[in-house]
Amino acid sequence: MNDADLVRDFRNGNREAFAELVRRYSRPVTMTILGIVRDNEAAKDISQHVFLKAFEKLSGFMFASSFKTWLYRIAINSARDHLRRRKRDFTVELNEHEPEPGPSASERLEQLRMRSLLRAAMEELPEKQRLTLQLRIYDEMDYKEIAGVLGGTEGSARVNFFQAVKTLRKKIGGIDEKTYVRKSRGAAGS
Amino acid sequence: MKKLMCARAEELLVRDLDAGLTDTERALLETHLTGCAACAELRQEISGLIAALKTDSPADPGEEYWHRYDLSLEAGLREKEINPGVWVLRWKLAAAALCVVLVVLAAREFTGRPDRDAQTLPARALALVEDLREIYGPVEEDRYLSMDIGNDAAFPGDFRIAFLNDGFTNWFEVEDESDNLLL
Repeated sequence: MNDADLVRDFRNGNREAFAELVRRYSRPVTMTILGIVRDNEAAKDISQHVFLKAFEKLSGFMFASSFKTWLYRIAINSARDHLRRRKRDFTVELNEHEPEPGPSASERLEQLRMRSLLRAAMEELPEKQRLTLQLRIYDEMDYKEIAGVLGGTEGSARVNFFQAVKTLRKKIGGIDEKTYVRKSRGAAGS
Repeated sequence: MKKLMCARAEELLVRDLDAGLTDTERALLETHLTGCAACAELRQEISGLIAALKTDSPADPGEEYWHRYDLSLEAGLREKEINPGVWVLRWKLAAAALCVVLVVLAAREFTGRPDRDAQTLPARALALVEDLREIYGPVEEDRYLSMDIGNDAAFPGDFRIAFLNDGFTNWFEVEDESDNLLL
């Protein structure tokens, strides 16, 4: 059963249909929010707020976009509101994601440094470019979906992604595809 | 010409990350990359950047987290389900109360409600007329009331004014008797 059918079922009084929508989207939506706010508990609260809001507003959903797009739009806006309210401290917590096992200690240190740089550079991107990059890379959305969630056209989403990659590359320089550490040649701003 | 091609290649490289190139564009890009070391390096850099970004995606918080998430979301949804019921009940009660008020108002309107102004105004008006009579003497209306309504001389012309309603001028009727006079 697709999302639209579940939405219709829910509107006809089938509560289980909404439970199925929650099962489908609660984790990906929470992970998207987590990618933006970088705080597990805040992500949980925001994500729950998103689903409660969806539960409340679904009766007025007009099918102008897909349910997924509509839900992600609520999620992104809620996460942005949260960031605006909190004026997040951009101190990067590096211990939340262990580096890939295998490389030497110095390489791992360099990976952490790289990650820190990358996040700092991402935080400096214009909001729309940053969100486009996150939705494209972390959530693997296509540009049409991104345009639906963030507003604008498919073309503008593509341009935002392109600009974001260009800016990051300028700021960080080359990154080795296998070790994720910065290449010594062409490194910028070290 | 080469510079322009490199700028175009850079755009194609980014689009290539999304497998968004047509066969023609891909062929064009590959041809360019074989002859341009800078763009070939750029491709590696971009790929590395995307790979690094992917590794920086947030880590899954673990099953315990999701378990807590599911429990509290379920509780929140249950509360939302109950609350709308309470609100619906409240709205129904409010609507019922409003209906009762409307019925009472309508009943008063159509069954001769006691209108304070309607009762007190004539009395106040009469008192005022009395006061005016005392101050200014009999008003014009009094003069007509004192006239003999059967006397035609009092009403020259073809009209006889008959005062009805026990002599008080609530309304009057004019009879045209000109035809009778001619006969």
